[in-house]
Amino acid sequence: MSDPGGAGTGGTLRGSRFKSVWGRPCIGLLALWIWVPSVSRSELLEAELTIAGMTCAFCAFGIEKKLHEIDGVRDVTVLLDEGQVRLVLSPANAATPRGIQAAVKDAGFKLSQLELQVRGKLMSEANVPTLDAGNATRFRLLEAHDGRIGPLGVETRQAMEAASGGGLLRVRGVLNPESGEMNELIVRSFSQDVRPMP
Amino acid sequence: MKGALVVALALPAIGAAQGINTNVALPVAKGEGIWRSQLRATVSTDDPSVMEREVHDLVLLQTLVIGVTPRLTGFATLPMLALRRTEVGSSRRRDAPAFGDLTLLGRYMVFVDDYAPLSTRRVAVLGGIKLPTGADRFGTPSYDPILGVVGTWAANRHELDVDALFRLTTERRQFEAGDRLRYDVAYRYRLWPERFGSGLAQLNGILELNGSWTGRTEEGGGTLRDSGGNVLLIAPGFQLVTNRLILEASLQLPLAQDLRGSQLETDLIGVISVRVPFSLD
Repeated sequence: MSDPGGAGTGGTLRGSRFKSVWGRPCIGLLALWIWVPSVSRSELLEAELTIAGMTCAFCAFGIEKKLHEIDGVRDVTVLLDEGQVRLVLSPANAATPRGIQAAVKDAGFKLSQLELQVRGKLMSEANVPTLDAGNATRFRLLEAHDGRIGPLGVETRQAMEAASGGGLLRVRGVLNPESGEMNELIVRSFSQDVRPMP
Repeated sequence: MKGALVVALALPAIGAAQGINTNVALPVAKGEGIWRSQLRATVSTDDPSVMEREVHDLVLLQTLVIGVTPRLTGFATLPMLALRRTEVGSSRRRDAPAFGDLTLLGRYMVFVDDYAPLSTRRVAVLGGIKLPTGADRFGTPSYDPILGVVGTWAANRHELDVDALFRLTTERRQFEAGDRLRYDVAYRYRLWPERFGSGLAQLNGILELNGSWTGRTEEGGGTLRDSGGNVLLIAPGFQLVTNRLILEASLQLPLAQDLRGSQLETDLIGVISVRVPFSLD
């Protein structure tokens, strides 16, 4: 008689010596150990900052120091010629657009553009497409057409919903420079968030 | 006191210059600091009197720079006379090392225009005080307020820095040094690299004009004959800048000196310094 998978049988694994009292919890713990590292959460993944006025390496040092104070910033690369700073963020980071803006301000500079790669959950607030990016950060999603910024179009919204499949979405976009708001994201690209293999 | 004043014109009034000998209006991040140690070797042998005087000075200048807020930077500068060798005719004298007067200065950015990568225009005001903490022979006994302004214009490989600082001296113990106006212009050109790429080190060539006007000194109700005057120095130099260190060297040479009385004139001032950033937290 074949083992129906453990139900009512004591949870023995074929060929194993697990006793019934430990079998299912062990299987559960094992599954959790495999599953937990690959759980994704809403958060910022990467950021590209445009900062004018950095004129030398010493300026770069101050910006690097302030950005590294944000919990979860793994790498800061300053590109003086382009006037850009690239951030790579660790999983479970505490980075937010306002936090990044504050760090640049503390360094004595002004953030003129922030491009983000975000992993988040697509939502709808008062029928406005929104991306929940964790850390109490929610972006109103916009898109650009012929140089004009406006609400997310129906087609784009449907495509994003299909891509997310009810799960998390990876979105690359830039904060709206026209409004200066830190919660309006102009979508440039998106894809389904693929969980990393354990 | 007179001995100190004879060569005082060759010393930086504030020592807070963040160029080599010129102030700049570039930011220091909040909660970050910079330590600068500068060695200044002065040779003064041009004696208008018949005494055949020569003075060789070695001064160590320590400056602590603190980013208080994104716009406000604090400076504390303490000079130390490491060596002074005085020759008058055939007689020679060596002075013991002595600390000079502590200067505290604040710099507040009033105008900021970061208009492009590697480019900025900034203006800051300076205010502070010189404290009478030093030895009599290497300082003055008064509390002197200081006011100034500094501007920086950087555009890619070029940078122009301009500053002016005025020290209003006060009377104390029947002594009042002459007021002092200091003004500087510095041009910096990035010699290397042409483009930064992923590296952040750079080599700058610098040319400065450092000028000062000093008023007459009053002592015991009278005016010292050998006090006051104008000095204008030209100073070529180099600066190696990384994101963890600045090494710099400059040679100040007199373009014009108009000193009252029989004050000794400066032949040259050699300057080397190092700057190291650090975090306060």
